[in-house]
Amino acid sequence: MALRKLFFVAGPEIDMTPMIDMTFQLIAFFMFVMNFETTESDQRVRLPITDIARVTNLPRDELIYLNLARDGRLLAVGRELSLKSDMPEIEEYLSREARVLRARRDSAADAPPGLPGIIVLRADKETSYRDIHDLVSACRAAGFQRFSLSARRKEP
Amino acid sequence: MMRARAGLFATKLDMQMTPMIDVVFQLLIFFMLTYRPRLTETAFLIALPAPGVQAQAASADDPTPDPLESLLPDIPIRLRADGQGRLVEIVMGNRPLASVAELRAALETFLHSVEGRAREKVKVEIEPDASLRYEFIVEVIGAATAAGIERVDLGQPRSTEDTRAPPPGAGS
Repeated sequence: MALRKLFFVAGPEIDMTPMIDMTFQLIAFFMFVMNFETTESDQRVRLPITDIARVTNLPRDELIYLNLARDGRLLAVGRELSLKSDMPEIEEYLSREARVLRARRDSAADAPPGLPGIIVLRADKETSYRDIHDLVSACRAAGFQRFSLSARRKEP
Repeated sequence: MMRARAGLFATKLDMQMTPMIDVVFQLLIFFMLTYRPRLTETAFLIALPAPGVQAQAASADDPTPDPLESLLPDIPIRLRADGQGRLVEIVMGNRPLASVAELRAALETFLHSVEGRAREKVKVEIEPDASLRYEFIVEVIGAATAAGIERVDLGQPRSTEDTRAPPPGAGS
């Protein structure tokens, strides 16, 4: 009797295979849709909403991201800088970027004239125009001419 | 004898599934919590050269200066804000407009009156109050773009007390 119990005690087995299959599928899905591209964009910036702006495919190596929070803090230079008190540092950063881009353009044989960099201005929708103007002026003074003003489409 | 023994001890090799399932669920929960749906970012591409510098076209196809440009005056669009930075008044040239939609219609009408190639050279100069929120500026740039005007300039921030009529040749 005891021997019989030893051999037949195993209850009904649950087939785990479909569940594991499904779980791995889910993991694979979430891994693929994980968005690494937003590392340059700051979630604290709430972009203005418009349906007219277009999705742009700009050359990634020419883009300089500037995230501007609504209280005039620049969130793109590796740390937070204030447009009011840290302007010299911001100007230094922009002219450094401009120098790098100029050097790259000069080394290319058939490069078009003008600074190749594009400033991607990701400003919060509540930022005052004074702050926008101050930052754009600093970029223009550094030699940047092309700007991409980021916005977001209306949620469906 | 040997056969009976083999049959008796041929137990199935069980893999310990519990730790693997634990880890897999941990991973699943991690990815689910860090998941953010991809929001489509759009943009307005505008060329804003420093004062006195020839504009490098955003589409970068024709960098040569055009005599038409000096003949066409910029369209000044004055945007006035209230205390909270909301848009309360739009003035195109000297003409007050009730809404951004009306501004778009006015710009479209103006653009229809411009002939052929000169149409591409029309430029609006937005002159907002210093306190105006960025979302309204984007709305106005959107209206100009929708009307077919690609060239936009951002003027000096104004104080709310500024007179309606913009100074001649105002720009940054």
